[in-house]
Amino acid sequence: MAIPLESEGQRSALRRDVQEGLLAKLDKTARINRLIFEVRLDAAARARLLQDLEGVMADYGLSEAERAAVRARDFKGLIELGGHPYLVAQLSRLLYGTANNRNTSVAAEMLRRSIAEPAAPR
Amino acid sequence: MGELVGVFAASHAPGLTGWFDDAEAGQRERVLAGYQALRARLERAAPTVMIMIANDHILNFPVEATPDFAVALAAEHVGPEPWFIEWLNLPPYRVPGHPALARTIVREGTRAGIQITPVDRLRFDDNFSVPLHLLTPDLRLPLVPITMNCIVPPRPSPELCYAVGGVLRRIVEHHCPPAERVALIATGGLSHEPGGPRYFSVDEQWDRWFLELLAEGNPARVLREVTLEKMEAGGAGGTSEVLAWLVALGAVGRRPATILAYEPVVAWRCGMGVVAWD
Repeated sequence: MAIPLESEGQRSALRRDVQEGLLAKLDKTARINRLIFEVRLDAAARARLLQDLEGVMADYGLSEAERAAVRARDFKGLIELGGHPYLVAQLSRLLYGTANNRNTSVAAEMLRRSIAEPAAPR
Repeated sequence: MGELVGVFAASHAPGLTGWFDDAEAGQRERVLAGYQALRARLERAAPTVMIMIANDHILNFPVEATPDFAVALAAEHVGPEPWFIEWLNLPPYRVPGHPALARTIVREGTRAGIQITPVDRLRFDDNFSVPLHLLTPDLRLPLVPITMNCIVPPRPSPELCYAVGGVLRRIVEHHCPPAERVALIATGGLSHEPGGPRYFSVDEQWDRWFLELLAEGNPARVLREVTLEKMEAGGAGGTSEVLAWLVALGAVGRRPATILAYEPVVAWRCGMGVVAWD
């Protein structure tokens, strides 16, 4: 939704980016983004995520809606809540393993179940 | 005066090293042949240093604080970031940096109006690791890695990215020592949509349209047509890594690109393109 401005000069001083689509859903304050950003970089945090998911989500202050989406492996829902799709895809790998991330891997398959359009018949 | 001795662009999909064998044999061969052709050109150009520019996959900078561009000042770079080692199926590696050129890019880039952030080190994922593995596997050529924001709105515009390429050329030609021979390699793209509904498909039509535009050698038309909206239409949050290709384009201007390879590799979830500007 374009915000009305007084002049073309003001308009051109602002950056224009997409107003719809996946990236337009991004919420830079959504805590899920911070959780994924940091946990990737810390081996102990990665291990703890698998042992104590609820505790990690509490520590990062995820909203109740974010926590429910993580519990349900609702990756699409996390993007709707403002998670960056790039990071949300990585959450699947944090939860299900990152080696051999082929289309048939568990991490890819769990993501596909949530986000992907139905595959076209071959 | 330094010299810009080669400008190239190539996709950096992690599947290329991480789950290489999943692609069809013909596709694997043609993509590798494209990379080998790029490598041969790079070696013929005999660079003394390589600038590699690619999307920061929200690895170094969080979504709430994403610089347009960032460059690592380190005398030696280390990759991949540990969590990405298994994913990429690549061993840990070290590659020499070039702090003097990195500082020159920060100083002169800032004067030229680029929002560029110097950092002591950058974490590498597929963005630098995959092309390094394929193009300079002996890891001896000094590297100046530049990350850019291709996926966190509001992003640098295509016009800005193109202008940055021109600035990089001028920095090399006017602010580098005479013996410095610089190669510029953009990595990323083509169509892909990580985490989106089209993650498991490739938009071959988009990719071929983009490559054909580059082969025309008409950058004004590229900037008119390859908008951010158009990039999102080719795969949200991934295809816009071609912003790095527009930086490379800005360093060459009206020269037509030579397409060294293109394959829509669904197994790697990415349209794979390799080009050189001769």
